[in-house]
Amino acid sequence: MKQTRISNYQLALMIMLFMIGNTPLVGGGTSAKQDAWIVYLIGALVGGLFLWMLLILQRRSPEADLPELFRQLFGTWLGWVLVLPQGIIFAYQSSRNIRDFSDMTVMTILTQTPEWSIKLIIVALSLYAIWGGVQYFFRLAELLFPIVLFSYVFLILLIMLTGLPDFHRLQPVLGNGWGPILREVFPSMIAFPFGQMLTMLLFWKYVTPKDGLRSTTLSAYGLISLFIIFMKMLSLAVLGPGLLDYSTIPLLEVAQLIRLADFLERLDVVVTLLLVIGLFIKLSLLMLAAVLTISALFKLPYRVCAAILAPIIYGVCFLEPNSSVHEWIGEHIVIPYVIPGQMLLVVIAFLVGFVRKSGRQSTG
Amino acid sequence: MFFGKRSKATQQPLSAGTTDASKSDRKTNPFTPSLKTNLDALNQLLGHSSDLSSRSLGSPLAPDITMSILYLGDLVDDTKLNEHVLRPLLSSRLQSDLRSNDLVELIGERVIEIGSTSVSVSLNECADRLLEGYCLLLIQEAACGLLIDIREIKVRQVSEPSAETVVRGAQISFNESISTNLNLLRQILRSPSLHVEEMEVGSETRTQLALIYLDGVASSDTVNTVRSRLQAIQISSVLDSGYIEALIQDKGYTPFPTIKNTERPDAVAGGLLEGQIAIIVDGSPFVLVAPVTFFQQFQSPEDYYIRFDIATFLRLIRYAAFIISMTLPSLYIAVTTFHQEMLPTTLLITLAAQREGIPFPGLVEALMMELTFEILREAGVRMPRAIGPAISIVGALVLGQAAVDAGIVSAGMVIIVSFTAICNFVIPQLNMAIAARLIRFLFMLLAGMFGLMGIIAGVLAVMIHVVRLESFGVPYMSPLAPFSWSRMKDTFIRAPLQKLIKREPHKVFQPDNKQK
Repeated sequence: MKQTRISNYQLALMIMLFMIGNTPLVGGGTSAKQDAWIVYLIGALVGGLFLWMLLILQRRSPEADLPELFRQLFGTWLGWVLVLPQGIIFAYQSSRNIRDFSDMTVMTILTQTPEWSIKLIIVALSLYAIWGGVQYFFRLAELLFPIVLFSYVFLILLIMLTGLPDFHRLQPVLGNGWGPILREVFPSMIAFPFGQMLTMLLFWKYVTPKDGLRSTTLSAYGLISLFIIFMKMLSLAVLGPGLLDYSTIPLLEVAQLIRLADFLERLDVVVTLLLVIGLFIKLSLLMLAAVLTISALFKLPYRVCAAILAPIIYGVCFLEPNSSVHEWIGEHIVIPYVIPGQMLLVVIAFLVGFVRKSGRQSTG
Repeated sequence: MFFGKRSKATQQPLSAGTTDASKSDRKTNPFTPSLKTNLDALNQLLGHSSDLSSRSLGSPLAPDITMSILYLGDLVDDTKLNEHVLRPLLSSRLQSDLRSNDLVELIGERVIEIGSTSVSVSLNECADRLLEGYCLLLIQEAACGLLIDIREIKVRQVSEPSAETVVRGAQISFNESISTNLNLLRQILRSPSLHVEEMEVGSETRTQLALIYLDGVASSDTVNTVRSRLQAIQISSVLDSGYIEALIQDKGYTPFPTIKNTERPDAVAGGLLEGQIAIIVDGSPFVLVAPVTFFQQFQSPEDYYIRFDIATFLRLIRYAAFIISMTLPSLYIAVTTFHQEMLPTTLLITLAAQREGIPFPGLVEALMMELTFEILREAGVRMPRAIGPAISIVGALVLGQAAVDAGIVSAGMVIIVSFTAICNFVIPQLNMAIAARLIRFLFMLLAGMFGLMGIIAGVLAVMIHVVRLESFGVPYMSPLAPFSWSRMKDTFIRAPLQKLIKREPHKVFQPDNKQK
């Protein structure tokens, strides 16, 4: 098989698309009211620390991905046991994103279409996207990124032109003190969206040349964090903290307010397009991560594993009876416990590696 | 009926390069010293064809030796035969004591007044050459024959391009003869590094083809790949360059062309200068150019002859037209059947008023009209020239106007279909235009089922598909994916020439080495 390689540029674009993903869908930090953007800011900073740790882990063994890394640090048996939940979590998150996707579609543009058919299309599309392997999937990011970029620029320009944002809505800054902010940051904001950078542990090993990897990752992460914070500020400035708390898809609400010259209105289409691309990239990358992890664990061929996992992922997204349960699980189980748990495993791995390395140095 | 099998990589190439290679897997019949046996054997090889003329003659060169000259009467140039072969032989002042093979050589060297002569010892080769229009001189006691090139090749006059027209730029196109085409190409590129490798493909048609590249500019990996794929072809007949295109393109089913064909010598020359490889197939005015990327199919040679700002504008229009021609009917279906709220109210009312009384749902109406148009277009290509005006009247008036008046289809739909069709004509490469036409129907069905979401899913699927395509190792979507900033200057925009000439030509069409 051809050797898989990813360029630094592809990595940067993929990180950005992945991080935007479904962030506009999930309104984090709302209990901090007008300071929600500060929640994101702190989340991004702490997430940056976590990312820095991931990069050290990666640099210690540049050619290893997540399963290999755990095998090296914990040994064959324990490593296997500890990686298995990671793979399952990736697959589960992917399935949650499919659920998000179909919920959003049914809510916005296809009110009468049966959900199973929408989910089926999405799973099939994702499977097709990852079928060719890591290399082609990262190339896809290069095609999609310009679309996303131009759509966002277009949207932001229009929002600014129509004079919708009122940045006084962000005041008073820190009106309620640090308390509510910190309660939002730990652990949910770190976990989502910033903690999801840990998915990249599976893809860094393909990046060539490795020299630029750290700076690329960090600058892509920095840029996209700034963008996410900016978007949060913008929707706060347009909708105000109260309305933001009630809206399911804040960005959509913002776009619906745009009216220009009796012609440019109903830009929901653009937002929907953005959300679809973001979600699609996110869920496909998570599916890809799950496939890579599981296939390494069970020594399965890549495509066989993908063909087995995709129907399972499709099935899992029917388990929740309705979208309220889906959201409740997301807010009360996945974000505060599941993802932080996944991150904790990696932190432990980091510490183990650190202890081992210093132990080796002191003995040697 | 004309399809052969594509060979496995391990099989021996059927025909490669010169006649030596083509002989290698046939059994070779040697000449015998007896003139009569040789004549009989050749007659046998050519199936006692009635257009095989043979004439025995005696030459003052060696009066006691019987000579015989053979040719296929329809293929040779009579003037050349009479003036430059027969006359020198019959009125030679030379006297010689040489016999047999030496005499043949002497005649070839000193008597025949034709540029290309060769001595052959294989009856099979002689039969092959006779079929190409050579004449063969046989001499009593000589175990060889003299082949003299007096071919007369019937060719069409070089004419203006019909499929790829430009306003500014050379008004000349290739014709069906490989030598004319090479001539046209050499006139543009007078460089010694223009390498031409001739080959023969097709066991029955024995079609000549030429592999052409600029040495030092084209990547040698790509040249080797193309050469080996050409040599691996096993087919009995090649009637057009389309056969070669289908047989050497990268594997995988795709509506998108991964080899470009053009009838313009300047387009081929431009491609060669950028490191592409051209394949001329005898009998086809369409020359193949490979490797090619998606974006190249939207470039016309004219882009480089006109001002860069205008060229950029035209290019962007072509991309827009491509997207419109794929998606417009499906968007119409999606918006009118699923997402009426997306239209401004007044427009919605206009459309709804038109659709009032139309007995079909949007999808059926659109499919009907699109299919009708495709049929019209096909009729336009196939019908005899003389009845052309009738088709336009029937198409425009009866199907368009009357269908709207009768309330079968809405006027809006007619506008959509016509505009889509016109957009499709903007794409310079016909193959790419056809791909857009096919994909359009897929999108229409998706839009009929899932509205806008269906279209987005369809577009994503097409993107996933094209990103995985490759043309001789070059990623199809480059320079967008994988991204290359320097080549962006000549993809969506066309930068001023001063900016373009600085780039290193051989960097442009390198296969993605990373994957090797």
